[in-house]
Amino acid sequence: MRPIRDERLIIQNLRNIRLAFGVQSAGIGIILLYTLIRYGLEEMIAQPVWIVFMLTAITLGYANLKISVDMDRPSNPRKPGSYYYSILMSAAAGLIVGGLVWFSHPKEPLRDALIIGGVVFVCLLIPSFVVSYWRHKKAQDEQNEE
Amino acid sequence: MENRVKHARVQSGFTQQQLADQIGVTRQTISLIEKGSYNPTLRLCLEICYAVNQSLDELFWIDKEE
Repeated sequence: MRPIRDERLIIQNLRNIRLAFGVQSAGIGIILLYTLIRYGLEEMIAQPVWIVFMLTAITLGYANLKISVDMDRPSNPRKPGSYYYSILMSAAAGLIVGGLVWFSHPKEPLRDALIIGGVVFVCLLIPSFVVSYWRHKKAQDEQNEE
Repeated sequence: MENRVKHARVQSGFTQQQLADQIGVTRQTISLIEKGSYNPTLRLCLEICYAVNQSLDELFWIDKEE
């Protein structure tokens, strides 16, 4: 098959991929929902399609971060937030969640609270770093254009 | 969007297929552009202009509706 060069057909192809993605996601959703109702949460999470579903959601989320940064209009676009602020906020969230786990389950070992707090820290740190990076890049582009 | 691509193409002596081959799109795309059913990108508009030796203004400009 020859590569598509016609811009109209390229757009049409992307629309078709979007449609197929919607159908695929609906199918995965139905399978997961069926498993949840029939066998419970544990079985649903154990399914390989759950990992596919989560990976797709994470990929889409990360890909859309750039769109969010382009869409938002900060009060001072020339001064994007510092990278240290991202670390600080992620660390604070990790500490709060870890602390809550520790206080709510005092009989469980401290290690569990540390792991949960650490996961929250990392899961917030990566996207906030990505957002900070795009904001810095956007600010730099705006300065270069002027 | 309304345009004057068909008029310019006929004036230049091209068929839809010839124009399409020259700018690297399908005949259907040219047909849809002429009917105003597909809005081409600026790059494709320029390719059409180069092929029929006319300016962007002559082919695609329309006055703002009041």
